[in-house]
Amino acid sequence: MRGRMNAGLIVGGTLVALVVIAALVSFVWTPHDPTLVDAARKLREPGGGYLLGADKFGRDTFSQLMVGARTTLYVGIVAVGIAALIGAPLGMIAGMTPHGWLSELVMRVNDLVFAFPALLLAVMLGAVYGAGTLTAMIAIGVATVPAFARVARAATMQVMVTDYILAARAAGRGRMAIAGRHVLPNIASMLIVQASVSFAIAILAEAALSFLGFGTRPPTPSWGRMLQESQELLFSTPRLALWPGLAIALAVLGFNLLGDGLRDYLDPKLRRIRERTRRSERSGGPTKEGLRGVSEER
Amino acid sequence: MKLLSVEGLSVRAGELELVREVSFAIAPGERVGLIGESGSGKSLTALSLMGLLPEGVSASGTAVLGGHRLLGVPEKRLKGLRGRTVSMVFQEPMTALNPLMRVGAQVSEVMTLHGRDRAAARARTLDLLDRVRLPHPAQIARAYPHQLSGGQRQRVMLAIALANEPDLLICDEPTTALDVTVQKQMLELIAEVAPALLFITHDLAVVASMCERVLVMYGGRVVESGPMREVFTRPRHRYTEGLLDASRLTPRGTRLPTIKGSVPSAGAFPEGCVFRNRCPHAGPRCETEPALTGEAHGYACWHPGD
Ligand SMILES: Nc1ncnc2c1ncn2[C@@H]1O[C@H](COP(=O)(O)OP(=O)(O)O)[C@@H](O)[C@H]1O
Ligand code: SF4
Ligand SMILES: [Mg+2]
Repeated sequence: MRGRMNAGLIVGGTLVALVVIAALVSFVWTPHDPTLVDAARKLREPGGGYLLGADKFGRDTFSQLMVGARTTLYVGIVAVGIAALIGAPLGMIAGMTPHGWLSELVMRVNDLVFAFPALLLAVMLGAVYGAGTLTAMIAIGVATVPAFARVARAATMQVMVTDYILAARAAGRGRMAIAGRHVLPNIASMLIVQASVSFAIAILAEAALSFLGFGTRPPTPSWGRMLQESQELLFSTPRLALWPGLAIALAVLGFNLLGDGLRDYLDPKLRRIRERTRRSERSGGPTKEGLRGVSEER
Repeated sequence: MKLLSVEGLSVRAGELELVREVSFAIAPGERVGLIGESGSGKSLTALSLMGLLPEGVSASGTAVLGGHRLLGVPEKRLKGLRGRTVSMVFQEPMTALNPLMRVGAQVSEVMTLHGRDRAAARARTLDLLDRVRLPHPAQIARAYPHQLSGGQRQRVMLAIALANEPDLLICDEPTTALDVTVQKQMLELIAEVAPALLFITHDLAVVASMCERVLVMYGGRVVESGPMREVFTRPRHRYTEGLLDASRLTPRGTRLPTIKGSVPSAGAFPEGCVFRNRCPHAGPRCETEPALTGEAHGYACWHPGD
């Protein structure tokens, strides 16, 4: 049941892998201490053990990028984790009972949160609870909940009209068993794709927040703050903005490509099953009404 | 003593009456056919007995299966009956199995669900797969649905339906989606393993080979019912007559399209006799609704054939 490898999957996967490797390696090794301030190395040019040079405080840019990758992934994982853990169950509930009051409530609250941009939410939370990585993660996570809920709801509704759900109910399966054993596995691929795309958004949001001073606090290295600190030197030392900017762009691109690639990779499987179903219908008897018709006419 | 008795079953979707005042009974071990063109209300009748009507559609009347009421009882009670006391096999085997679960797991799940322990369920799964004549049960149990053919999958569905030894099996066009060559084997298997059977089809030849008694449905009503042989050799209702004529093959092997027109959509059937707009014998009396008359062989027609 394997899909075909595609360019998005390979390029996206490689970019994401680079970020992950940089982050993991940074735990055990960086060329220099990324937070060590040293006036003697101020704005040191690249070379001689300082691959990408040093910033205005004399901190090694390459080391900062490596540890910054850690921050980026940390924020992404927690934010997407929050979004998935809240959004997916809500979406599934809404999808399994499309006319229930709970489903209605879920979608209304969703619309409300959806209307709030992640950044605005983070700035507000930051103003109330103090700016910081945790605030940023929670704000980004909460703002991403609706995206997950929507995808989970749409996918669940697709699964719920299939014959195997009806067959499962005919076998006496209850709601929870159907949700856990039949719905979740069959919408998992769409949730994975959504997670990947949300990850890209979270990275961008974290960078923007740190740039605005509402995200990761110094001295923890962060790509967004590196960008902000390089602002005044943009024309004299453009490389200080170039590297973190490139890192952000490539990481975002990587997760987006990975999401697209996964969609194509995971989908053919479903498409093939659907095709086979259609083929069997065509080669079958003359009348094809029955349950399929019943559910479509609704 | 009846196993299933249905009295005045009506199914409606809002204002629309889709099934009207259907009554019938099935004795233990009896095989009853439910026939009629597509759109006659056969599936809705079956689904209302399972408590599986789609949202927005509701059933009224009474239906009692082995002492358990099936209509107007809480979902929780029905859940315990489905798959244990009454099972259903659907038309479309290709999509009736979860594509991501192994076949064996899906068969044994229906048993653990109704209280059997895991090891016993797993052992019985192989027996069941063998009983529905699947070759190499152990291999089939490990397979995913997409690795099986339509006929094999329908056998798996039958195994699931039989897993808890239900008292009644309902089959809704179980062979319609299968290749002609596998249809016959499947039918023979169903006839052999079914405890009591409510068999839905629009194929008269199939019902003739399977069932002892037959209910003819049209426009959401049972228009004729009686012993298989009697209804098929001496149909009284003009609709049944039309169905039989249409199914008879001409010497050249082509079907005669004897029933003119097509089944109206729900809500568009005429007042009085629902078959009136297509019936060659319709007269003024047919503008009032005929009641189902007759004992063992009942029919609802003002100008019955003989
Ligand atoms: N959910 C629904 N809402 C409204 N009408 C429905 C619904 N399901 C089925 N129907 C209508 O009820 C009639 C009977 O359907 P069905 O029981 O599937 O017929 P059969 O199985 O005999 O082909 C059809 O006209 C169909 O369009
Ligand atoms: S009642 Fe009248 S319209 Fe209906 S089947 Fe009989 S003859 Fe035809
Ligand atoms: Mg049907």
